[in-house]
Formats: sequence, C-alpha cells, structure tokens
Amino acid sequence: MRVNLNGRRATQERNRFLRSKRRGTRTACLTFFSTKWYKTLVLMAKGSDSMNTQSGILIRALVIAVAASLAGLGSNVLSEKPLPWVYVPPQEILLEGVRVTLIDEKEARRLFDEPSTIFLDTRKEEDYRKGHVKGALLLPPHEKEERFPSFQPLFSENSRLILYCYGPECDMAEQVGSFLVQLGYKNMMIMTAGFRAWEKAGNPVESKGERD
Amino acid sequence: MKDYSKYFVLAGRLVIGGLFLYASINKIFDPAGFASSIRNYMILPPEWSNVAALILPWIEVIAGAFLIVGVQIKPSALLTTGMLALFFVAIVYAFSVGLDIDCGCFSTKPDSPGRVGIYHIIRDGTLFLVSFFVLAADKGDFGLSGLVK
Repeated sequence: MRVNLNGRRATQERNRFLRSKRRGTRTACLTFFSTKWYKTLVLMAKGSDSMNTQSGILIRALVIAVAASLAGLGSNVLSEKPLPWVYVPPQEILLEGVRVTLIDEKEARRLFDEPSTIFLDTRKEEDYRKGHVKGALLLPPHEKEERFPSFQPLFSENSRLILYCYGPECDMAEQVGSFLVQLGYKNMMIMTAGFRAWEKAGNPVESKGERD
Repeated sequence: MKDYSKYFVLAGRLVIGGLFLYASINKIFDPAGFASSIRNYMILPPEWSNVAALILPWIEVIAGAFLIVGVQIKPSALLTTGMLALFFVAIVYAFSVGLDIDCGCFSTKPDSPGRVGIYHIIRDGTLFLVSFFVLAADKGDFGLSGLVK
C-alpha cells in the first residue's frame, strides 16, 4: 500500500514537473513568436479579420513596401552595374575632348561678381524672356550658329563662360558647350542645377530682354 | 437589384495594376535613367534619387501584380493610391514652377515626348481617383484568396 502511495506520489510529482516544463517551453515559444513582425505575417497569410481593419491594411501595405524595397535593393546588388545608393554628382564632363567643370549655383554666384564671367542661357527664348540670370546672353542650341556672331565681340580670351539650362539633367548647355569648344573656347563651366536653382537661391535675376 | 460595383472594382484593379506593371518595367531595367528623372523634379535631395529609383519601381511592380492577380488587394490599392498621390503632387509642382522636364511616368528616356503638362495632371488625377475607388470599394471579389476558399 505504502509502495503504491509512493508510486502514485512519484507519478504526480513527475506529471507536475513535466507540466511545468511544458508550460515553460510554451511561454518561451510564445514570447519568441509573438513578436509583431511574425504575428503580422502569420495573420496576413491566414487572411485574419484583424488584418482587414484600417490599421491592418496599413501594416500589410508597409510589409509589402518593405519586401519590395528589399527586392529592389537586392536586385541592384546582384546586377552587373550596381547603382550606388547615394548619388554623387559628377565634377566635370568631357566635351569634344575638353574637360568642362560642373558647378552648383553657389559657386556660380561667387563667380557672378567677377567681371570676366559671362553667363549663357541655353533655354528656349520664351523662358529666357520670363526670367534669366542677370546679364545672361541667350544662346539656345538650335539658334547657336545664327546668334553667336553677334556675341563674339563680347568674349575675350580671359572670359569665363558659364552655361546653364533648366535643371541638372538638361543637356542643352552641353550641346552649346560642344559648339563653343569647336570654336576654340575652353574656359567654360556648366551650372548643372540650372536656372530654377539659381532663382530659388534668391540670386540676381532679370526678366527683360538680352544684354546688347 | 444586382450589385455591379464589384465589376467596376475589378476593371479598376486591372487598369491600375496593368499601368503600374507597364510603367515599372522600363524603370527596373534603367534605374539610372529613372534616378535622373527624379532629380529633374528637384523635390528630393539629389543624393536620395538613386535609392528612390531602386525602390519605387519594385513597389510599383509588386502592387500592380497583386492588384491584377487579386492578392492583398486593399494594401496594394493603398500603395498605388499613395504613389499616385505622390506623383500627382510632383507633377503639379513641376507644372506650377514651369519645369520643362520629362514626366518620367512610363519612360526613362530624356527625349520621350512626355513633357510635364496639364494632360499629365488630368491623367494622374483620374488614375488616383480610380485607385482610391478600388481601395474604398473592394470587398475581395475576384481575388485569388476567394477562389482558393
């Protein structure tokens, strides 16, 4: 009898121990898997009702956006010519074999006060009429041959030409730059940020006709 | 009376999904060109243009594909609506300050005929409304999850 009682007690003790162990494991598992990202993915996969609330939809959209972003960045890493994550603007370009320095609107403003500096606006005439860098001459790519002879007397060997167009990726200044390089002008720069950045920075602007 | 709204939602899903898929392909294959389009808008700091050009087309392609297939419809519609709102603001800004740039909507080539204009504002505004309608009115009809059930 005593033996049986001891045996029952031992069984009860063992069961209690096993139960507490199981409870501990379950608690640990819950703690680990109840992190929000996992919960979200599980609920998303199940199509749970709690995921159909406004905040649920927002969370699901964020999860999709993050996954898509990682796919985009990952595919870039695996591509033959990966694009650097941070864009660094080029400092100079080659026009007809001549190195032309690219400057921002701050550097252009600094050079604006120097008498040898001449600004060349390469945008459309209608935009030039609306507003341009104070004192700039109009020389759009499609009229460069006709207009240039009238400007030539203003240029000297020491003249520093600063060309600009609308914005960073506009290639009109480069087209005019190539033309001027062919004529022998090498002391030139391109203000890559363009007229809008110049105007936005509060630099001198005029909207009347070109300088004669 | 029969409720036809689910057919309009399906049509909206296919239109928005198809356009997003189509628009993202060029951008995925030419991220540098798309980064250049982003810089032209002069809204984001130029340094961020590359990372935006790497991420945005992939969100477009996944959201577009989900809308067509019918998976995660509402979250995808939320993403397309959000992106269209973003594009709308960018285009209105570019138009209002008179930027003579390519909209970068479907092509990344600088000589594409997509110069920002009133047409782009109307088109983007309409697409935004269609996408918002899908987001608001979708009840999960014609979805892949519904077919599985």
